[in-house]
Amino acid sequence: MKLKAVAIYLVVSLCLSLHAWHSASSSLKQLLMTELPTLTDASLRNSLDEQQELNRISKQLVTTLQFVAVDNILPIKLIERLQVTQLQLLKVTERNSYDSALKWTFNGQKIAMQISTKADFKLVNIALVSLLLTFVFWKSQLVLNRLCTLISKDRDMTKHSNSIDAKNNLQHDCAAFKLLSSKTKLPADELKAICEKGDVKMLSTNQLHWFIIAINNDLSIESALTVAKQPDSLVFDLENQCVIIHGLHIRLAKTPLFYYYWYAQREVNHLPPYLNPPLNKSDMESAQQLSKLMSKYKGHQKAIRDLQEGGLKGKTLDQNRNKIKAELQKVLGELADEYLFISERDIKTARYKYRLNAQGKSITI
Amino acid sequence: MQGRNSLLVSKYLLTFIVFSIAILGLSKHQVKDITIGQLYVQQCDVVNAKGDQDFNVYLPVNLRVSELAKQLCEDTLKGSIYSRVSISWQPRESLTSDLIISQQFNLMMHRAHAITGLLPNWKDFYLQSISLPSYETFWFSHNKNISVTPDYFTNKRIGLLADKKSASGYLMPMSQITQAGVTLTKEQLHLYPNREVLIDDFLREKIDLMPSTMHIQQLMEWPVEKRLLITEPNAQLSWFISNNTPQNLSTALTVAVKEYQTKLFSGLPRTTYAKPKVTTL
Repeated sequence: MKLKAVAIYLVVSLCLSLHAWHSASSSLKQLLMTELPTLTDASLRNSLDEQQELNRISKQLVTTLQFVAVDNILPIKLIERLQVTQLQLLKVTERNSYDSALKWTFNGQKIAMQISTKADFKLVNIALVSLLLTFVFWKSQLVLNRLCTLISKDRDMTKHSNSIDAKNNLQHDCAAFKLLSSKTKLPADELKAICEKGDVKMLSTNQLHWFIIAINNDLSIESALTVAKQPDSLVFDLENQCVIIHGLHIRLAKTPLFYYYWYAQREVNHLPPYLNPPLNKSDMESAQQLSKLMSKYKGHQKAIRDLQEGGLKGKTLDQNRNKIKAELQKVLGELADEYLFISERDIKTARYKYRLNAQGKSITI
Repeated sequence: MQGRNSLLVSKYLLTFIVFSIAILGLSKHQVKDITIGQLYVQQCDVVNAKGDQDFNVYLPVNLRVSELAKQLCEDTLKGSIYSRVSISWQPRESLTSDLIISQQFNLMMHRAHAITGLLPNWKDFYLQSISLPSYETFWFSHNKNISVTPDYFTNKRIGLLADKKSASGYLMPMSQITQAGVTLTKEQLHLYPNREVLIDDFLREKIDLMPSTMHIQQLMEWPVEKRLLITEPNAQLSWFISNNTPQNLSTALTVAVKEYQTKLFSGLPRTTYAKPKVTTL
């Protein structure tokens, strides 16, 4: 904000100074162009060497016009006076064609004037006027912004019947609005209320996505805010048959939940990625662990029996991981990926091994 | 989204326009009236001046004015009642009878007949001092054997000065050919605002004949058979000193103008025009 104000101030003062100089200088040129043709004509009439006489006139003019007083429309002057630093009158010949607009004719002979000026700026006055203009500019922006909001509100009211249009035309400074309006089905006025909350404005983009997911899962705005502000975390609540991801409770079917838990447990215990057992040889040891867990938390009898009799099979693991994936994606959308599995192929056996993506999150079992 | 954008655009546009007008309006400066004064005047300040009067000089042409000014300011009028010298070569038509009566000029170089024309009793106001050595005016031509006859002048392009009070540039040649019965058509007669342009055009052969004194180098070297003396009427330039100029200065002034005259007729200037070299195949 400060930087912007300083930039505006500088641009304004630069424009003021340049235009003051330019306008004064063109006013001088204009005045000279009305006076000089007659005056030089009278002097050239009895001259024997025109260019010599023009040189003499030029010198005389530089002396006469050394300091030229200027006036401003305002009582406050930005330039004290103009100095003519160089002035030369020249006969225009075929060899030198001056591209100057300052030309007149003496007996078919074109005479050109070259002039350069210097301005004595009144720096204090320029600074004051620039400051004033910058201040007015700043204030007018605020007024205009308010006016724009009023106009949009008015439009919003008239177009209330079409809620999409209403959303689109809503005008405010909340960056989240666009995202919210496209990803949620809230009515426009409620969205606006949300956006104007200071807490919502403070959310990062990532937090905002969590906020949206929470809203879409029918949480109140306050609870959604709490969810958004949670750190990345995965908590298992096997008693209530659910996982709490990023503060958001998600119910899962019993069997997939146990497999999910089992993978998480491996992560917590820093075990390597679990290699899918080969088709002909199921893993009895892991099956033992899983069936114990399931019996403890009232898992399905069929699942327990299958594990005890047939061991842990690659196919069962694949099925359950897919179920977890589907369930989480249903609730979390794209964000689910952060809480799913990472796979890689084992070079020796050419089978896949899987582990839970636990990077940067706390897992509570 | 479109509504919002157009609102934004109109907001910025409005701001830009209003502030541009404000900046341009608030910083529009104008030059107060300037007084340039006449440019046909060369001025200088007199050394050790004892008074504050102006010493004005009139010359019909601005030849070597700065040298005359220097002479007057630093020598002739040094320590006199005059503080400032102004030498003017204003157009002849602006030299009026009133200026003679009011003795505007302390020193004038002019022709007696011209002053008489302005004020017959000019002797009540001015004293005729020395005259310039009589110098001759010629017809200059690009061809040999000039003769002032109607036959010779037929279809010739004649250049004269537009200033009809100029003796050598208009009066003398015009009266000579009129007496000889020559009448010039509009197409034949070319009038020039000053001598430089006239001589330049002659040297470029844009005109066939022109009257001039031999005051520039190219004309001094002109072949004798390609020029013809104009004798009529004999009018000499003289110096005139106003009666209100202190008597004790007149001797010094005469010395000064003599010196100036000598300079005028020595080392004459060349025109800027250089004749292209003719190569023969």
